[in-house]
Amino acid sequence: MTGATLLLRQIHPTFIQAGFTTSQAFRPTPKDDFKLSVYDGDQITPETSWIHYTTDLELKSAGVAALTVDECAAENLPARPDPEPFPEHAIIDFAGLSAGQCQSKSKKLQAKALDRGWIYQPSDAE
Amino acid sequence: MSSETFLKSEAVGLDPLDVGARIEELKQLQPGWLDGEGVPLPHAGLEWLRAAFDQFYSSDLPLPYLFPTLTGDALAEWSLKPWSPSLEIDLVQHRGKWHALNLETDEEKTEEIDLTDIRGWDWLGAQLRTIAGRTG
Repeated sequence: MTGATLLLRQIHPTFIQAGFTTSQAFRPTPKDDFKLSVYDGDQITPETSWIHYTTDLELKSAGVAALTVDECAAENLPARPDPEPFPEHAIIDFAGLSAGQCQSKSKKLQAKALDRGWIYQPSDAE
Repeated sequence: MSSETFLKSEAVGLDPLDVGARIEELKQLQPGWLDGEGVPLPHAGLEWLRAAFDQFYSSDLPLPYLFPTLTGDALAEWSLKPWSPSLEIDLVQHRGKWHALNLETDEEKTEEIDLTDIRGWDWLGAQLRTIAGRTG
């Protein structure tokens, strides 16, 4: 994993309206223990990550957004491999941040991901 | 709710950000809507929100993107770069938590507002107009 590594984030269909993704998709939920789950883009393609997420893990994703390790680091959010759930798994670490700080960081990540655009959407996506 | 059953406002010729249509979509959320997490949004609260938007939200303001939160609230977000404003709306207490972040300077503003009458909505409108003006 390098600074240029793309971190692949699956986006739930409910978190998209008219092509806009809510900032909530870029911050951990309470069960995530301050760790935002992503795929390591050096180890898996966006399309394969989507297939793994929706088929193997049986979770919902309307498409794949991405951030680089450097973009996260610029917000003081370290990213690192976390191969325990599966080999390509990685996390963006929000540890130690207040709810308000998580909200602000997630808006910065949201803006970067929206600027980049979808890096994978299934053919039947909106 | 599955993505297949999620209504798409565009398909029926409405503004894709039409608040009423979006509220109908949000009513369809079932318990565990986010891969097992997520509380459904209270229908009475959503109807209050629809009525409040109709009554108090000026037509010259940009429509928000409207999302559910895991705890059963609604989150309104606007795309007004360089600002990223949002309002988390408590659908039971009818209060809002405003958060506006300038993505370039990190300037931040937060406020809790009462959305039970027009004063809170006027305050919201003033904030949005100021931000939209600053986006130039």
